Amino acid sequence: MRLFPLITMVFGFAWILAIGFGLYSITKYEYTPGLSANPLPSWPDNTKLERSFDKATLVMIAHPHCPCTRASINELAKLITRKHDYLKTYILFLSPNHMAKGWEKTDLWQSACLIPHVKVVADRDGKEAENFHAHTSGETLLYDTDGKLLFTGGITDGRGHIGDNSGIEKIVALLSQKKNLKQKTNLVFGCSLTNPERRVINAEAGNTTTH
Amino acid sequence: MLKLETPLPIKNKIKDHANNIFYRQQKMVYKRTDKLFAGLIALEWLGAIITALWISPRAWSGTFSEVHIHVWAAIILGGIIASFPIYMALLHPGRTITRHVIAVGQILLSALLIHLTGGRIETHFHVFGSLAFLAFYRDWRVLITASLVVALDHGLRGVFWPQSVYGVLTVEPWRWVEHTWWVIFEDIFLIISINQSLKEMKKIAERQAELEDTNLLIEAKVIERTHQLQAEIKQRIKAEEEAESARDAAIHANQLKSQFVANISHEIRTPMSAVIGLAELVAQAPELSDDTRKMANSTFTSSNHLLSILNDLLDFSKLEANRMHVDKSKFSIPTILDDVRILVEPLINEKKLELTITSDPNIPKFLFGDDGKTRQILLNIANNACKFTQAGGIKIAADLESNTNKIATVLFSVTDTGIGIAEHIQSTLFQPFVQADTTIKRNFGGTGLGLSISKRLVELLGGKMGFSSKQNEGSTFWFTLSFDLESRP
Repeated sequence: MRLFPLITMVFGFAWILAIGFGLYSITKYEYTPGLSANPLPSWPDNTKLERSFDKATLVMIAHPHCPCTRASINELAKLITRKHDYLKTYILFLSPNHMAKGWEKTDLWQSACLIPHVKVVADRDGKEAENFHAHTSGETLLYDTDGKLLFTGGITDGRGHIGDNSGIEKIVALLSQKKNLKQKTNLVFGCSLTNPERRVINAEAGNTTTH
Repeated sequence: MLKLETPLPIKNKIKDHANNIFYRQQKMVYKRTDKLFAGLIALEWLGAIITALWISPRAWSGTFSEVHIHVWAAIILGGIIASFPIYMALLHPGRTITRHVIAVGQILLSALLIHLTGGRIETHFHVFGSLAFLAFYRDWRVLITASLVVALDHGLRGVFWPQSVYGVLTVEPWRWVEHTWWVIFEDIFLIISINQSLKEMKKIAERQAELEDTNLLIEAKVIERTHQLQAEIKQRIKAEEEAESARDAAIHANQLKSQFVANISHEIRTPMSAVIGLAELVAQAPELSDDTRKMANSTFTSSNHLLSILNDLLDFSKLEANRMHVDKSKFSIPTILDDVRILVEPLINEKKLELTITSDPNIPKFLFGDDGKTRQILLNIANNACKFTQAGGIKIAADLESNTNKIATVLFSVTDTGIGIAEHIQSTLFQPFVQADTTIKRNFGGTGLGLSISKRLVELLGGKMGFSSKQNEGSTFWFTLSFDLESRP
């Protein structure tokens, strides 16, 4: 049997190592969560959004250019299809004042507008995101009819990862229960809603780091 | 019905040959598929980059953005995954390790694409498509390698990032088996298909081997037969050459003989002329007694007869030796007819026969040709007519057959009321030394050369000669000769 040249064997060995490292890195990136929100236990007073008093209110805060958030919008659409009778839903898209007009009107915005029973709102200069203490695109918050926070976190199990996830499972479980509801959280995967310098401040405040 | 069995050694030989063809074709399939995959993997790499640029071009932090890590992953990791399979396909096509490396690379590209599309269920079909494409190798082991990579990928993810595979954080440890099962499910059908394909390839190889062996057998037979034919042709050529040289020798010997006969005849004729002259002089001497004069006349007659035989022999020998020359001079047909009349008239008168001579007035007055030989031929057949006619008459005629203003063709004919020629000897009449039968020789004399010489002379002059005859009723001998109307060199 003819032996392979040394260069081929070295190439093959290096190939396996490089692929192993590459797949590990990309997978690690994909499943490293963003900075979670640290919201108040009840509906914030200073928000301009109107809470529902006869059903739960769900708020998703999204970055209009974040590719990972497409998965979150998709998962929300599935949830709305199943539970729209139980929910009043807002999707807030970050809209910095200093950016060009219509900066937030991306394909994600258009996709969100197509979901029935959902109100899409432009979050001027991220004020509402601040009100809800959200830092990562895809952050989803659920409040009961009394304004009590029931859920905070993402509704995907990876960065831009479509499919069944624990966030949706938890929300569905909360909406199905009538009494003794306990607050649930989930990891959130997505782009940061704030610029890098502000992210550092947030990190120093004790939260995990996004990209 | 008797069934012929192929002998075992030939069967084994065909089987070996079929195996060689099969392995050769299999190797060709491997090499061809390696090259196909080299192109496909390069395209898939390009597709991964385009996908990343389309789905997730940039990562954002507020209003700040940078190139998304997926784009770098598609370029760098995709390039790394594609590089080694392409390298192997181009540098080591057809080798076992090459197609296994390609199988691994192909499934890793599937994994990358699934990553880049956020785990879309549709992208998972890339794995199934890859398995189907890998089936092009018609090697089930390649599918096993690819399936092992899928199983390994799911197994490792299940351990370290279960949510990346199953969408939930807590799963049963055997869940990866369920996912891998669907891959195995496709593998089963592909392996069945590969086995059927291999069986067909083997059958085709067997048929090709039989066909090639038959062709070789036929070629060998053709070569063997060709050698035999070449040997036969050589033998035939040799035999023909020998026959030709024998014929040449015979012709040469015949010519020598004819030349010898001609020389001898010539040498004998000179003293014979002297004998004839002296015999005539002696016969005319006044003082001879009647008996002596009778003997002298007998000597004269016999010598003349002998001279006639010698003349025939001399002519025949000249013709045989191709030494007879054609002379051309100006003459007229009536003159020739008159000469012949003078020469045959004594015999005609002696036998009390009737002689008729006619000449076609359309024949040009003067012609150019060999008048001597024309006269000799006509005289010869006229003499024969006189010789073989006991009662009745002889008709000598010259008719114009054609005239082209340059050449005139004349038909000479001599018709008698003689004994005729029996049918059974008509075909040999012009052959030398042939006479009708021995009684003719006895009754009429002659050498049997006259007609043969006449025919050859006619042919020498470019004419034709023939006859028609009926036994006891008479014969007509004819010949045609062409003459120039003007003198030509």
